[in-house]
Amino acid sequence: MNPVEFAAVHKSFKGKAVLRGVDLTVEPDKIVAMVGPNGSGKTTCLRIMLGLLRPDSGNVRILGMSPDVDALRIRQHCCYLPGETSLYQSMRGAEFLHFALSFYSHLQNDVMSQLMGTFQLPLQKKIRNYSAGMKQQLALMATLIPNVELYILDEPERALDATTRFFLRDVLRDLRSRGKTILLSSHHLLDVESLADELVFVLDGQSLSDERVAEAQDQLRKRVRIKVRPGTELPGGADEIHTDADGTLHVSPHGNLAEWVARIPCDALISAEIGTVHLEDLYRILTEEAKT
Amino acid sequence: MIARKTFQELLPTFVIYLLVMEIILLPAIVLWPDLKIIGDQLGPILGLTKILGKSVFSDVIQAVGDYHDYYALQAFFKGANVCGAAAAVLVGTGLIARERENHTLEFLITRPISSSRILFEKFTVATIGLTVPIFLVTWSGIPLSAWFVQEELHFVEVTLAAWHSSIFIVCMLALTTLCSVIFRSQSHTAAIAGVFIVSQVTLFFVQTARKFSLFQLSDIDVYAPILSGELGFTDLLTWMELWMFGTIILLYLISDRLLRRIAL
Repeated sequence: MNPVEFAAVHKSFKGKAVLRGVDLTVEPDKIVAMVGPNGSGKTTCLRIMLGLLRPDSGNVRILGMSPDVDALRIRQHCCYLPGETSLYQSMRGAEFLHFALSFYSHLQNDVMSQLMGTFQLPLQKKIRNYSAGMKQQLALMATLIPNVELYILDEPERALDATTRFFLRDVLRDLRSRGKTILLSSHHLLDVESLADELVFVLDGQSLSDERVAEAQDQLRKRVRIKVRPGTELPGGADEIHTDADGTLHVSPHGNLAEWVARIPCDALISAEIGTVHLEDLYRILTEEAKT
Repeated sequence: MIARKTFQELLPTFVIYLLVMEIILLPAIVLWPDLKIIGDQLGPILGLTKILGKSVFSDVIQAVGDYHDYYALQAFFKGANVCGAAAAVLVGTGLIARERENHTLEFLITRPISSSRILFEKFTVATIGLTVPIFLVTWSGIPLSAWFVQEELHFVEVTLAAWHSSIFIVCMLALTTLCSVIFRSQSHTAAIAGVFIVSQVTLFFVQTARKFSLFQLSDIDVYAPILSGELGFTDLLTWMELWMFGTIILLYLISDRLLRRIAL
């Protein structure tokens, strides 16, 4: 049984289609990331999984149960981190943690010690005095300490600094090694690129098929990323796709990629990558396709 | 845990509510001897108002004539009804709407607890917090009346009056809770519930429209017979309280159903 099965799910709000056919399968003991720009429908998918919203059509099974019928049982076996930090501002950190964990019968004490030791949150202070990053850390503790089968995390790395993000990735990998399944959403590809076992692109309310992703990968394999000294004239026979902020050019040569790069004078060439698939580029292609 | 958290959040409101009611009651008891003299002097006017027809004015003047009526006027009509309705709006609006406004409702309803249980725990705490002060304040009137003005109030009658007042306030709470589930922000909820209650109070003071006001269920005409022992528990229950119970249950069940389908 797969922990998450989402098939052809549609959802509209006041006549506006937000999900237009999302397919998603999350296998056990995996970290799966839903990636897509803001407003693409990721949070709506997560809310449907927890039974907070009802889909207009499609089939949803979470841990073998239907959220429409067994929402409470699903929530006993899965923990959710909401996208917007939703904490009781008037509570102290320790009070909130005690309150949030009181709903679960089994806790992972070693995870609690690990998170407390690393985050070093001032738990005796009122939450209203916490920074955005500290609030997110507290919300993560409330979500990751319960011992459940499935963790659903909406933008878990939001407001975290780089060190904490790296630590969080280690914690999530550790949970996976214990047989837990993790589904997370993010609109920052770089955040999840090194963490997830599988990526699911959600664009404009639709999950992209493997074929479409493969097509985009093929396009990238026919491109060259080069950085040249200022004033260098590039050889002909190539289309320039775009230029990154750091001056890296994305070029699509008409013929053999290596031969085209070889025509650039050595002293003008700073770096060149031929046919490499960067997820960031893949994401850009898919997003641009969705817009057109 | 939700009940405990709700209680901790609302405790200051409950304490202030209790103190305000006590502060309203205590000087009223102490002032009784002076008012009784004025009441005696206003005898002819009382007769005139009776001839002109029953009005709130005549109720007030009449209340000066008998301590039970006077106590009913002060403790319930002035204290529990006014303070209780205000406290019910204040407490009820926050039960769900504040959670939604602060984005904590999503956190709460994604825990392994049903929305019905959330509403039940919150509503129960609010009910206890709003009704216990009514009993405490009205019971406090028994020794205070004996000490300060040497008037006797009977425990059973006072308790029955407090019981009736409590049901009326829980009706207000149920109504406000429903608004709290329907409207997205606490200010909208408070505005709608507040306007409704103020309009009901206004209707109560308009002689011809008084029968349309909910406040006639909890006015001097109800409390004075209870405190004088003319109206017993069974009479009260069959006369109006069954209807009030029914209203509370209906409003609660609608709130519960709506909360299960709440859009965040």
